Amino acid sequence: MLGFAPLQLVPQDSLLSNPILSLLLFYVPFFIFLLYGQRFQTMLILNEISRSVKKLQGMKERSRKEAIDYLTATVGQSPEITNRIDQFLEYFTIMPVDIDPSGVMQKLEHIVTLRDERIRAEVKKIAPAVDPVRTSAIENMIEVATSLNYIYKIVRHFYLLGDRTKSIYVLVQLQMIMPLILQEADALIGAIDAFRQVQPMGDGIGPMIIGKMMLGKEKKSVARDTVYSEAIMNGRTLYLLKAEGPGGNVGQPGTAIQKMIEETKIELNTIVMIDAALKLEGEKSGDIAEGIGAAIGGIGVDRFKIEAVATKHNIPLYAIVIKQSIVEAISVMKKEIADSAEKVHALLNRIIEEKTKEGDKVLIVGVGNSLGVGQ
Amino acid sequence: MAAPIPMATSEKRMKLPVFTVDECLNCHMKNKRAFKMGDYVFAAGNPCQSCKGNTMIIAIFAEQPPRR
Repeated sequence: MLGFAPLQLVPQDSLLSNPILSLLLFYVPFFIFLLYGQRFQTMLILNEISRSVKKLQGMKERSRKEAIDYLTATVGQSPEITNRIDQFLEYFTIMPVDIDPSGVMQKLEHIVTLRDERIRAEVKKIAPAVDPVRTSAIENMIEVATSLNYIYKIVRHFYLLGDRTKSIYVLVQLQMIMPLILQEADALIGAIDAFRQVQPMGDGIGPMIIGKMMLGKEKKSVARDTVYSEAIMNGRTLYLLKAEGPGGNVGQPGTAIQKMIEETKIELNTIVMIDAALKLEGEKSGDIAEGIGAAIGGIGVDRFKIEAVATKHNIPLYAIVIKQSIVEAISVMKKEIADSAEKVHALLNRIIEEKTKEGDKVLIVGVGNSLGVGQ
Repeated sequence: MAAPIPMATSEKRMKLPVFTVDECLNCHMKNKRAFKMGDYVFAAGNPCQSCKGNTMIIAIFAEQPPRR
């Protein structure tokens, strides 16, 4: 019969066989971690978040400095500039109450338009004789600085709250979303370079495609910073709509489409919208996709208006999107995104050919920021 | 910009050199050059290197330099 040898992890003559030593090396740390483990974890998380908060603070200060420097270079040295920019950084917008959702879109539009007009008026006051392109660059840079200031303050608030209460639950939530916040902040910093140098951004691919089709044609203003042209293609009348460039404008495509249909009485048969869309992980930048619906982002006012008017007049809505990441959308346009313009033109021609007939009126909208894109 | 669903990437922004592409309105020759302030898409570009004709800027983009 085979004898059973017990499993011996620690040799008899080992240091760990000493009961006092094993108490110090095993039981004491075990109980320390059992009782204070969460405290250690909290300290580590606080340390990690603190580094991210410092990074955000640096970004916020850089965006403020860039806006002040750009304004100083444009309008000359003035102590007023710094004060005005600092006032802008604290500027806030109170969104309308949505407990009773009836009419919330009109209220939202009113508030957002008011905010845009207020920023525009303030910029005009600081830089009255500046051309529209640089005025829009100033507006956009101030918006970036305001956004980064807001992000920094919110993150700092939760960091300090977590530090004060030592609540791991507050801190863990902040730690989990911190990579996304930093990515968003990094994208905003990237946008500053594009705004300063008036270079097209990834989001400008829609206006770039339509701008090419508008070349040499009369441009009519239809809404704030929004222009359209008419063209004839294979017996169809095309209405080409985009935000006015090369300034950093997104225009008011919702209002423009509503006006064209209901005020100018253009009897549209089809609407095709071209826009940048956020790609999913694994998708390639510059890939294009075709679909149905109003391809437009933002706060929702423009999409609401377009959907409402298209439904009322029974106009089919087709969409073409160009895939890109959030960083690419608000940074200088990448080559693979610029290269997708040819493929989009081919797809657009196919949609017009297949979905419309001769004599039809087709509205093609290039949605996005027209920064660095003329027409 | 249309956003189908919120997304997360670990992508980092890199500062890439920016180029301008001029296309000749006569011979359609394309010329890629470094971006300079004042360039914008569909503005007049530098004279054509081949026929000295007028050019138009057809694209401005950031591109990763080729790896050596």
